[in-house]
Amino acid sequence: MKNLRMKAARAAKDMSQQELADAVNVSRQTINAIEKGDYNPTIKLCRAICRTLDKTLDDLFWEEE
Amino acid sequence: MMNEHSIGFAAGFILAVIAVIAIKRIMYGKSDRKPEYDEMQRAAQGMAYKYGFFTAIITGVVCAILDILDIHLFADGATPMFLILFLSAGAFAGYSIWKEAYFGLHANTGRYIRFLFVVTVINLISAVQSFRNGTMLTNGKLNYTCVNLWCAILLAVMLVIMLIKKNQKQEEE
Repeated sequence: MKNLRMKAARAAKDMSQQELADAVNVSRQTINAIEKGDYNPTIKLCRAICRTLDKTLDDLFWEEE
Repeated sequence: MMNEHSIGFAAGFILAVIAVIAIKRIMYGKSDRKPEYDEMQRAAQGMAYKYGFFTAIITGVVCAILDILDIHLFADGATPMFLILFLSAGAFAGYSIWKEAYFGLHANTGRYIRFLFVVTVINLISAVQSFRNGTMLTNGKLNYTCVNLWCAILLAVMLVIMLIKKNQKQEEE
């Protein structure tokens, strides 16, 4: 499932995939894969992304039933 | 006692090791800086090692059975062993490149592509020379000198995968 909330949060911060990738020290392809729902990140990476985008884990990664 | 052929083979092997060390120095500099991978790349590398491992097991078993049955389809002696190495390395590298897990986070892939292209051409020239000299075949079967040909094919396939991925990346950006 696509992570549109993460994409929206990144766009709101006016960050490109590459800028977010550099901020959390992963490749741009990893950010792209997370946004497309092709890769489930570890909690460590989720936290780094949340910190960079000023969001909580719930905001970006919690899926409502 | 070592004959001329053995000495030549040993010298060639030592030269290859020296060349690899020299190339590593050129590619990475004098420091022991190792490529850095992120978690998705490491996960993909795990799968790539698995595919490489099973490729080696399957091709190894097939080659062993053929050897036991005394069936030598296209190659003799140690040549099938090289084939096992190339296929398993190809499975690992091919999958890793496809999943963008072969190169580290800040690697200059353009430099690798240029370098691999040069090595592919060198191997291809060497393979063509061996074929034209008639040294690639012994009693109609491939001998170990066909390694250059396999190396050229393997590297060419890797180059094609790299170029496809590079093209995909540019389209995404």
